[in-house]
Amino acid sequence: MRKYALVLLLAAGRAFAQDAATQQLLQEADKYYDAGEYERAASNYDRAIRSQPKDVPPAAYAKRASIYLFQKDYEAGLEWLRTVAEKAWPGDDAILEQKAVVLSRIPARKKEAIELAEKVLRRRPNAYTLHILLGDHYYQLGAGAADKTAAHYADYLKNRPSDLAEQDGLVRVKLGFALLYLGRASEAESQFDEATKATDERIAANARKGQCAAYAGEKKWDRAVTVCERVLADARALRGDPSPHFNLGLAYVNRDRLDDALKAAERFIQARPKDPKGYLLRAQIHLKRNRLADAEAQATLAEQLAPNDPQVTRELGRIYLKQKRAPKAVEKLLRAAAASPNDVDTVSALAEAYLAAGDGQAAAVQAERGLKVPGQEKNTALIALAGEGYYVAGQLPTARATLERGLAAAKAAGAAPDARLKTLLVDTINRQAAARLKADDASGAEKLLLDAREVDPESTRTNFNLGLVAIEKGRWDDAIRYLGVRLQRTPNDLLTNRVIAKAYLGAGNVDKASEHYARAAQEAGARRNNTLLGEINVEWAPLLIQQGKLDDAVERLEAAAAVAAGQPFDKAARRNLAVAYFRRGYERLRGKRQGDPVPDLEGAMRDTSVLTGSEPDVFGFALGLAYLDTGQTARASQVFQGIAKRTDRVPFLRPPFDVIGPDFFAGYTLYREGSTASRAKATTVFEKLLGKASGGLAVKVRDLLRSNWEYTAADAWGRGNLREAETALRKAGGLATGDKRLVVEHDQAVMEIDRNAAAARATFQRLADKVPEALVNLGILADRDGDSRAAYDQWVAARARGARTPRLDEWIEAKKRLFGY
Amino acid sequence: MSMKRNLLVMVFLAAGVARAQEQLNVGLYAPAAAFADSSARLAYVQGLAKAIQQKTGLATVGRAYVRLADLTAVKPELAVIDGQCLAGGAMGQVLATATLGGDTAPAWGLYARGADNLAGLKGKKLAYVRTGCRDNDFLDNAMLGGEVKAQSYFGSLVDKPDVSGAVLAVRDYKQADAVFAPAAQAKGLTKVFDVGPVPAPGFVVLAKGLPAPVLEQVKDAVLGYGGGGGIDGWKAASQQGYTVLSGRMAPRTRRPVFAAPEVVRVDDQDVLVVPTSKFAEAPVRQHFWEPTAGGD
Repeated sequence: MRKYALVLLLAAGRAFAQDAATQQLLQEADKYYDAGEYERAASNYDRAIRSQPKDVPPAAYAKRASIYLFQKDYEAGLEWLRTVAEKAWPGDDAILEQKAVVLSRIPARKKEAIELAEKVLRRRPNAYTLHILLGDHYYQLGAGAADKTAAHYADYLKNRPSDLAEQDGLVRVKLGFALLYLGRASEAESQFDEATKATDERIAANARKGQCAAYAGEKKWDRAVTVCERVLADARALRGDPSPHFNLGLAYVNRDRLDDALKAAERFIQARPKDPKGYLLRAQIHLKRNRLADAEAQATLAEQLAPNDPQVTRELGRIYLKQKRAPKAVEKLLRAAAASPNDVDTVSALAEAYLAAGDGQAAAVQAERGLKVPGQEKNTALIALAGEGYYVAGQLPTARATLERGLAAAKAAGAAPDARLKTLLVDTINRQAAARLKADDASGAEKLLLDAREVDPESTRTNFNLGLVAIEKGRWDDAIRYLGVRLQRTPNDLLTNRVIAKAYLGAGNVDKASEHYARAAQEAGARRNNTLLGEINVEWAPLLIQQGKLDDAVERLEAAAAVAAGQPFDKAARRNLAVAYFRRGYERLRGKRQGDPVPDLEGAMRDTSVLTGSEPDVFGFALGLAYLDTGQTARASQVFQGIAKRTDRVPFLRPPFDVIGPDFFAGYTLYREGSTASRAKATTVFEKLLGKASGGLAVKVRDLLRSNWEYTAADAWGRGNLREAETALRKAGGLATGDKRLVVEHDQAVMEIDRNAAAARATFQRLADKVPEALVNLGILADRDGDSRAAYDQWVAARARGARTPRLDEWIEAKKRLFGY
Repeated sequence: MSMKRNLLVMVFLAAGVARAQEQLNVGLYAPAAAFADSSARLAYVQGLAKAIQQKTGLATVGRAYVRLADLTAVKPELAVIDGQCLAGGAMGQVLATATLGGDTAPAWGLYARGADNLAGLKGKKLAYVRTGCRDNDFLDNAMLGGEVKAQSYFGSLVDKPDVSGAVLAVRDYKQADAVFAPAAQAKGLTKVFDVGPVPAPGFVVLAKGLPAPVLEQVKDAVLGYGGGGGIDGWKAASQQGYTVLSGRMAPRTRRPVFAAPEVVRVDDQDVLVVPTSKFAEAPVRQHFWEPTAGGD
């Protein structure tokens, strides 16, 4: 301090109108002062001041005052300043500067000293003694006054004469710690680096402690570990201060040396059990180990010790965030951010908490606030959070602009593009594209997706969506190429297989389409995703039909239709099922496939709203034919009458049926109805048609008439009306050709059996190969002759040949039962 | 006025019948039921009569008969009559059907001594129950299915009053070689073939004009009568069994058959212009992979 005062006073020389004696006294006083002979100097100053108080300059007064300081005679000095110096030079800064210093040495007058120092500095900002006075004062007040401390120490270093530079070490150490309090770790680091050069080993050791803290503050973990370990190795230099344990622990945590970190935390807590930082360090270690409950417990301990410490509140908030307790995280982090609004870590954590709570708008606001903190304008993490906030809030253009700004900032800083930023940007553009597609703007969607692809050409999402849009536009090859990107990464992906199958189908590559439909169906089945399986089957089934797997196709379409209600593929499922039912029913009707055609054709007609063109008529007509085939003549009649009522011409029938079809099928239905009356009516219709028909149709009508007469004859024979039977047979014979004549001959022989059994037997024997009922009748003749065995054998043969005689089985069984054949 | 008078006359007539019915007679002719002897039959029918008497309050007498003609000659109001006879012709309202071995229509068969097929019995003796109820139709058609005539196929027919006697004639007394009998009564004989079910005896109302309430009481008494011996109990009347047996007793003729006409089909290929139906495809737009608002 003596040195500071000396320097001050040397610089304060000024010319005054003194007499020679006074001048002499002052020169001698200065000489003694410089020589350190303060008593002689004081004597000379006093004599000069007494003789010419107004002509002695204030600097001399200041020197005289400083001698009181050197002699630690503060009360006397203060009295002298008040009664002598201030009287001669009231309000002079040099004198007041000394007064402030003297006051500062009297514990009860410290407050006055500070007020006076502040007052003088306002007028004389370069009064470095006062800067150091105030710096020391504020340093004692700790973190709360760190800004003032730092300012005064910095001003001291700026204004102190260069020959005092050797004594900067301690000031720099203190300044460094003040800067650390302010979070200006990088500036602190510079001060500590300078301070380590101090020759005083204690100051150098303190500087290293400062470095340890600064590196930790700057997140230079490796350097922090090195320096802090060195600090801790010099136990003397530690001088009871455990903060290096904390800083080292923090560095260990961030270098994943969690066991070492825990040891460091324990040492810190042992030394400072009331300091929340130790518990926070423990909390961070537990957090790293994902032991969230333990982390919460430690942070809660810290909170109990320092309920208003924003750092503690922030850590608790982070833990809640990790625990996915977003509302609690928001609550804590809001408090922390209010306490330290410029703490970027807190602001970031709060933005994250808002995101976790689904409040994108609030997240964006916080992140934007963080970006306004000086020096944080290009903080890519904050930009990403702001972008994500806008994204979550659905403000997609703002989100996109923000995220693009983030990527540009990273690029400008020469950093690799942030993966999260990139993903968010791609997602944002994909969402924009989705909105375009929903508005039926496939081209707009595609343009956006191409933008997204520029950001990340390998994005499976973008490529998948591009593939989808290409399908929408019918550009199958493009679709296959885009979808191939995702397929290559996940060959069994359900949706990719489902969609690429459609692209291959569009491109005409049925084999590849089938392959991917099959794989998609397998995946959907394995995941029990019946809805998607239904959708796949809607498109796959037609390919199965092409491959002849009609039953499989129908089964798949039935399953699809069962889950299709309310789905986008509902109508396609119902149509395809109707068409598949028709195909199968039609094949069954034509005898190309086993099974009853009626249920299929009824299925085909169940929902005619999905049928187009002539389909309702054709499917309905086929159903009518199926009803006829299965003896459901009333239903058949309903179908044909419906058509006949509607139109004279039926364009879905081949010529000449398109003209005479309604009459023909009305007659045909009567023919199939099978009652005596209906056959009679059918005969009338057919005979009328015979006059109109020609070619193949005439042949068909003749054949129908012949068959109708055969039925009539059999019916009459059954009723015992021989005359009618005979007449009908004769008419049938007139129309019969080829083998069909043999049936008539057979029936005529039956009618002769009682009149001429031998002739009948001969006829039956002749026809036995062509008409199986001839064998039945041969058996009856044998039975009448008492030859049970022969009868049995004939009947068994007849049955084997397909004879359709109502009680034949019963006859055979009776013989078998009685005679044991 | 005259209608009212007529109604009164009818009421008095009905009341007269009811008043006159002071006793009921119950006859029994059931040769197919396995009663040990005639005293067992008598005991059974008397027990049944007593049960009816208790229910109706009318004196009821039960008598057993060896021939149906004897029973019909005394004109009892009520009777237990053999199933074959009930199938052979309408005798009256059947109120209940007996159960034999728990069955209202036990399975019958042809049982023989020393032969196991029909051919082996040609010219041999057949024991049968002579009921007088279209016995030939029963044997030729119901039992032999119209395949052979019993009279000509077997050497002779040995008639017995009941099934037990007929079975004994074959098994113990060697008077015959074969017999048609319920399976339960043919123990010790070889089955040649099954002939199907034959309905058990029925409880029949022979008299006309019995008041309906009395008949209801009679029916309740019969159905509730456990009895024993040849008849285990009674169930509600099953007319169908007698009708079926009646059908089976009808002569069988196998009439020559016409060839079954073939249906002429209108092959739809000939007439239908089948449209080239295109299958629909499912839309895929819904699969646009939109990131969620919360980020994926």
